[in-house]
Parts: sequence; C-alpha cells; structure tokens
Amino acid sequence: MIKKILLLVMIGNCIVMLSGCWSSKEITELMIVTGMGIDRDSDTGEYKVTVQIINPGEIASQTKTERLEVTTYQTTGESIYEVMRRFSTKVPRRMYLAHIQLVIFGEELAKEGIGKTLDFISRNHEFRTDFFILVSKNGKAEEVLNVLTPTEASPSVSLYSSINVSEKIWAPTKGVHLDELLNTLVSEGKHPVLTGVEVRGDKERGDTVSSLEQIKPAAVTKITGFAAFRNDKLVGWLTENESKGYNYIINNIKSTVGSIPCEDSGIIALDVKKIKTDLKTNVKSGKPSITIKTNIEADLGEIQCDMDLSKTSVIKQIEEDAAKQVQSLMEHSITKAKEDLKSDIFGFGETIHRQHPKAWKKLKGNWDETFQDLEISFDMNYEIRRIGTISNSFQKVIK
Amino acid sequence: MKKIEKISSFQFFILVLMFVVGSSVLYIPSVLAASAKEDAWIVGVIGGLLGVGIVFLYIKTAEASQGKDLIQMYDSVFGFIFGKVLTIFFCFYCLIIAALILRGIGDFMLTQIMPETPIEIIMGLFIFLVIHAQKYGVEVFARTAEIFFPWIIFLFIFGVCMILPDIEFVRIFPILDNGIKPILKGTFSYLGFPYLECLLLLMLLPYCNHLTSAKKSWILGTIAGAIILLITIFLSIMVLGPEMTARQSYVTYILAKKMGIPHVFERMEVIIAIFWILTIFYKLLLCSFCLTKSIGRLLKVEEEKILAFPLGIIIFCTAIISGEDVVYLNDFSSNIWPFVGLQIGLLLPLLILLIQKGKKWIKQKDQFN
Repeated sequence: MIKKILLLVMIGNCIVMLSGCWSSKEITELMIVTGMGIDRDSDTGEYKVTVQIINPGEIASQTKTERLEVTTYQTTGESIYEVMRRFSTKVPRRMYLAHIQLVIFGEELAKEGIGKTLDFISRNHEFRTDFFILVSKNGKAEEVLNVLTPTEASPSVSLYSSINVSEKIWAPTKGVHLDELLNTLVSEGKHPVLTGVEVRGDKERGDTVSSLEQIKPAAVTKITGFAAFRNDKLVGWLTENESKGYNYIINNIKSTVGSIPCEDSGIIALDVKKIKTDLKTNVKSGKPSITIKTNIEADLGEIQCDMDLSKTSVIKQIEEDAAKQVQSLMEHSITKAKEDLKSDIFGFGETIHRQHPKAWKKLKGNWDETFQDLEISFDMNYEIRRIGTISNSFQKVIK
Repeated sequence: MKKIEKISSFQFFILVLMFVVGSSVLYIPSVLAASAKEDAWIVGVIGGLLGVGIVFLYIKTAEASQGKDLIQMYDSVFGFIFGKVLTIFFCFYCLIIAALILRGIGDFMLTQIMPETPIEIIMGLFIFLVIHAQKYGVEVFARTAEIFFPWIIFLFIFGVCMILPDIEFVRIFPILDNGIKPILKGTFSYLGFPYLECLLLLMLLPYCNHLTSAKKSWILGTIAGAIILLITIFLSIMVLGPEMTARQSYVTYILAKKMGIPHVFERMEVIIAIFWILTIFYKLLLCSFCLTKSIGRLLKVEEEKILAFPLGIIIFCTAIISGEDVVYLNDFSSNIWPFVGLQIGLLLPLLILLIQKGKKWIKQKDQFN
C-alpha cells in the first residue's frame, strides 16, 4: 500500500515538475516583431531603432476593433542591444525577434556604414538568417515600416513576400539574407549589394488607415534597384536596368521578360526561361581579364511588329538582337560599377581568387583599383525555342 | 556470483560511432575552418585517416595484451607503482574530457536555446541521467544506444537532405590556397578531439562478446563517425562559407536553422539538435563510465557502480569550475588539449605496444636458446 502511495506521489511530482518550463515564454507574454529599421538619429548621433510589432488581438480574434493590426515603436540608444532593452519602457511585453522578416537600414546610416550594427544581429540567438536586409532609398528606415499595406496585415510580411515573388519572375530583384551579406563583407574580392526599397506617394498619410480607405493607397512601398556598397558603406544605387544586368552577371535570374524594339515601331517581348552565366577568368602576365559566358533560352511572348516568323533567319535575327540587348544591360551595370561606384559588386575578384589563387595573391592588395580597368569580354548564346500558340502575327493585316 | 556483462559487436560499433561524433560534430567544422579556411574538408579527410590509424594502434595494443583493459595493461607493463601513477593520469584524462563535454552542452543550451535557464540545471539533469544509466550497467546502456541509433541516423540523413538545396559548390575553391601549414595545424586539433580520446574505448573493449569482430566494428565505427564529421564539414563550408563557419560558435546548429523547405517545413533546428544531444549523452556516459571503472580499479572497489554517483558530482563540479568563460574553454580544447592527448593517447599506447612486443620477442629468444 505504502509503495503504491509513494508511486502516486512520484508520478504526481513528475507531472508537476516535468511539464513546467524554466524560462518559458508564453505567446501571450511576447510581442512578435516582424520588421526592424535602423537609422542614425541626426541630433544625438545614436542609433534609432524602429520595430514593427504585430498586434495579436487584431490578427487572431474574430471581432475586429478600430485598432490596427500592426504598431511601430521607436527608441534610440548607443548600441542596438541597449535599444532593444530600452524598448521595454514603451512596449508592454517582451519582444520576440525570431519572426523578423525584414531588417531595413536608413540611407544615411548605410552611407556611414552598416558593419557595426550587423554584429548584434548575427550574435543574438533569437535572430535567424532567413530575413531580408534592405536599404531605404531616399529616406529613413522608419518611413518604410510606417506604411500600411492593403492586402497583408503586416507591412513587413507584405514586403517580404513581395521580394520572394519578384525574385522568381522579375529580373531586377534579389533578396539578400544575413549570411550572404556577411560572407560578401568578409570576402576580399566582392562588395555587397542590398535590395532597395522606397516609399511612393504621400509619406505623411501612409501610416493612417485613411490611406487604405481608398482603392489606391495614399502611399506604397516599392522594391527598387540595388543599393551598392563598398565594404559596408553605401556608395550608390543601381537603376532597374543596371540591376537587371547585375543579376544576369551573377546568374541570379530564374525567369524574366526581355524586350527588344522592332525595326519600325513596337516591341518584341521574350519570355526568358533559362539563364546560365559562367565567369571565366584569365590572368596573363599579372593582368586579369574576365569572360562572361551567358546561355539564355527564351520563348517568344509578344510581338508588336511585322515580321515573318516562319523564316529561321528572322528568328536568328531576333536572337542576335536579344543577345545584344542583354549584353548591353550587363555592360551598363559594369560601367556603372567601374566608373561610378568604384566597387566590385559582382565578385569578379572572388572568381579570380577561386580560379587563379596564385595570381590573386598579387592582385588582392589593390583590387579596387585593378577592377576599374579590368578587361571584360562577353560570350553570348541566345536561343529562342518556341513562338507561342500562333505563328505569324496579325499586325500586318490590321494595318 | 557477479554477473558478467557482455555487449555485442554491433552495440560496440554504435557506441564507437557516438563517441567519435558526440560533441565534436558541434565544434569541429568551425575549429577546422578557423585554421584551414576552405580546406577544412582536406583536414577532415587526413584527420579521419590518421584517426583510423590511431584506432588501429589501440587495437594492436589490445591484441598484444590479450583481453586486458587499459588499467590492467598499465599495471602489467609498467609495474605496480608506475601503473598506479599512470592510472591516476588516465583518471584525470577521463575526468577532464567528461567535464568539457558537460560544460559544452551546458554552454550550448545557454547560448542558443535557453539563455535564462541556469547552467547548473541543464548540466545537473544531464549528469543525473548519466549516473542513472551507469547504475544499470554496460549491457543496458548499450541496448538503449541500439534503440536510439536508427533515430540518430535518420535525423542526420534527414538534416543533410534538407540542407542540400542551399549548397554552393564553388565555396570550397580555391583548394590549398594557404599552403599546407594551416592544414597541419587543423589536423593536429582534429586528432586530439575526438580521435585520441578513443583511447577510453580500450576500457570498453573487454566487454565485447566476440573480440575479433569487436575490433572490426571499432574500425568501422570510427570510419562511420569520421564520414559523418566530414559530411558536416563539407556542408558547413558549402552552405555558410569558410568565413562564416569559422565565426560561428555552434556551426551545426546554424546549419540546422537553415534547413527546410520555406513556408512548408522549417524551424526544426531543435529537432535536429536531438541528433547531437543524444550522441553527446553517450560520449559523456562512456567517459563517466571509464572514470568510474578506472577509479574502481585504482581503489580496488568490488562493486564499481557505487562510485558512479560521487564521481558524477565531481564531474559536475569540475565542469562548473573548469573555465571562467567560453573563450578560455575554446582555447584550451583546441590549443592545449591536443598535447595532453598526444601523450596519453598516442605515446603511452605506443610504448605499451612496444614493451609488450619486446617482452614477447625476448621470451621467444629464450625458448630457442
């Protein structure tokens, strides 16, 4: 009998002791942070951190109140860690960082250098590596986080999935994760780029619900061309076409649309299906050169001009034009990087390091200068496979 | 009458594998990448081969002394007094390994998973389990290892498959960029941790029911462990890059964080972590077992199991006072520990082997005369 009672006591003890967790954090005690913006406070020179927090009552409950689904808070401090703790004076619960979707840097801070802030992000155990890092173009990070979005409850989630979708079907976009950024920062032959984001429209009204009460929101966030860095400092912005060229060179395009003008008027749009870019480096008597070898496969998507598509020579002509088009995109972004940014954002140096490790030892000392007069040649191969559901266009007949 | 405990060769294989993989799988990629950069995998290959060579030496030593365990070898080869001194050294060797492992798992949980839980609680629960397992004896914990083995293999293969899409093959180039020196340095640390620690398994070998096949499974277990480590090194370098690998404290956990199919199947690092927490448990268990066994031999305690509890407490305390900070511990285990390992794990067994061979040779010569 006593044995049985003892056993019961033991089991009861186990149930009580084992199910309790020491540092348990229930979801009702947490504030889920979805986005974080880092700026430099121009008055005090401290870091100004903006966090976007999900308002759980509004996201989950059936009955909605007037309150918004998301809120932003802002605090300043000398180190990011300090700021994160200081938030507790404003935020009612503990902030939970593992669901961060975006970290946005203000343009001003990016120009000064983002390296110092990255240490906290990579050292803290709650941060994962699957969020995107962006730079706010022509503005502060807080402005981006303060724009409400019509379809997604959380603006951060909206931007996050927008980058994800756009990266797959639209050539000028690329999302950059933390580990990629850190790897490029420590690499000797490559400088980082980050996705750019900007607020279009009325910034003042973007954070009020009235912005969403019209069919066209007063302010929207938009992914723009890349922010190009030299080491950890922002040195310039790529335009949409330059970003496209950049993505062609680093082989980061899954599918996109290429458009070339017709001879007379109109446009031929090509549905680009497969792209493969290889970099071949060569070092001759200490002088490096690079061949960019690109293979592209595309389908004809739209044709607005009068061309006889039954002839192979016409198709060859289109292929040639399209190849030239892509090559000029690449050339443009390379020229920009060489002359304007003076920063090897393509990682040509890294490729030379991998392919010619011995030559690299001599080159790496002043690679940034060498890069500016690096010889680059192209080897384009453009193939059009299919022309869609109709053969010749009816454009001619319409006229 | 005392029951004689026996384990099968397969169980021995599993224990060897767990011993090699345990705790090293968490640190080795970053330790090697810190010195050898993108060539860390070369260290993985060379170190693995040398490690198998070391195990081969242990097996030869065991063969030459016919079923004795290490403490008995010390006694028979070096005589009573020197034997005892060496036994004490060996006890400290076991104690420090066990303490380092325990501290390692505590630091890991504190840094990555539960930063607010006191380290004493995590380590206490862990060592309690180890003491408990020892009470049941070798046979029982070898069998539990057999139960966990499929899970460990499953979790490992699952993890590898999940991380494969993130691989970038070019990251391992250029090969041999920094010359051979960093590779040798890396190999040195890699040998000390975990291969030279395999010496402890000499205490377990006499428990095997078939000695010949047990020797085979020792070699096979070491090879399998080395392959698991090599795969982990490859993955860390190809997924995170050598620089990031070298900078991470717990690189395998970071890999696990990246595993999965986005939006379908993600954030399962804690499940993957079961893989190394289990292996670490067995490594700690084996170290603690060897310590109990050799202290028992030293003090001529008939029933060694009663020592498990006090020694567990000692391991626990050593783990707490072993180092004031993580940096000191890392420095100790990669720069100082291999030297200790070389003496106890390589020089002594070699000496034992040579002396025994020499004795045999003299005996044969006497017979002929």
